[in-house]
Amino acid sequence: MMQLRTKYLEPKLISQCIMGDPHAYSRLIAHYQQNLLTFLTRMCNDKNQAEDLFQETLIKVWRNFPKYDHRHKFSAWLFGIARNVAIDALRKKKVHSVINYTDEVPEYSDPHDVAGEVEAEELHNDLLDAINKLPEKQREIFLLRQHSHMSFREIAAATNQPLNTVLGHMHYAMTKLKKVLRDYDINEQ
Amino acid sequence: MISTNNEKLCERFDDEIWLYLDGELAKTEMASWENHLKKCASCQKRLLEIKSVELAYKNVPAVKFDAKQLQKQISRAENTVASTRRYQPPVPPIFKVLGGILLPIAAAVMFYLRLHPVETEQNYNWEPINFQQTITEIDSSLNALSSDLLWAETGESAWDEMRMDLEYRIEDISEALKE
Repeated sequence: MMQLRTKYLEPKLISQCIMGDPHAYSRLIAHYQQNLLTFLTRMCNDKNQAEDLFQETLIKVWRNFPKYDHRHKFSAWLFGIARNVAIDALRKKKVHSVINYTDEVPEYSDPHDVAGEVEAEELHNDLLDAINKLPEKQREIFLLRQHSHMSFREIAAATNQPLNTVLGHMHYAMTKLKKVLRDYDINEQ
Repeated sequence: MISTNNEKLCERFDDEIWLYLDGELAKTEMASWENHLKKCASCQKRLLEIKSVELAYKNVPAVKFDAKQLQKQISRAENTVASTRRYQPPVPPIFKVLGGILLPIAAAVMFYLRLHPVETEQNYNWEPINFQQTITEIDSSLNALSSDLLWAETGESAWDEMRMDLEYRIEDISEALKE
């Protein structure tokens, strides 16, 4: 379904957006909004700010549509712009508040597995906490990778960094996050 | 010795693991790492750990946003963007095809006609009408007719009247043309 959308519907919507059709734009963005908002929230650690940044990203993407190069993946381009918006906001803010994920209520398929629920919730919180504590560059590369599904070469292009630098950031980020999972013995299970 | 070689290989895999996961290595390298992974438990573990982190992150519930609020944001963005660029509806493909065929044909026909003009009435050089001269000609014709025996019976004044009438009518036409 996703592939069909990317292959057929998305290029059509993009062409209409380039010609200036706002309705096609809202259809195109609706598909990415949840992922984009989650990415922005985790980048800036602030849900309300993420909503503002989402709005700013939408306007920036629209204004830059005439410059969009069809040879590149739209998601890579979109998340590249969102990343720039988030980085600018972080520079302005320059404050790293501790993230509060209490509003994120996990949904579980088995309501009887209370112990499992609690442990999963703890794992999620610890993982998000560890992501939040990552240096900005490492967090940015990790989140871009997870949300935009870009390859590392695409991430390097989107962030204007050499491939080896990007891989280095990912390597260090992953080393720290692996430790969280080791505490839960995930790999041994 | 074998163990050292293997360690070096594992270190290299640590560097290339991301490109391996992206499938962005050469085919021979990919095959070589797949071969190595079958035998090396340590590299299998590295790969598994990465996949576990990615899976654990994937399972973290997405940040929840109010659906109505989101829709409002999208609508707000739609309104904002609508005011920044004017929508130009796409040209139907049939018009593009017709335009592509008909325009060169029309250009070729015009070029040909310019080289070989067709002589139609439009090509004649019309001289501007000299009404005064026309009146004089009509006057002299009427004078010639008045001298004719057959027409002479109508009398001089009748001819003058007819001539005057004709002059007025020509003047009317002339004025109308000027307007």
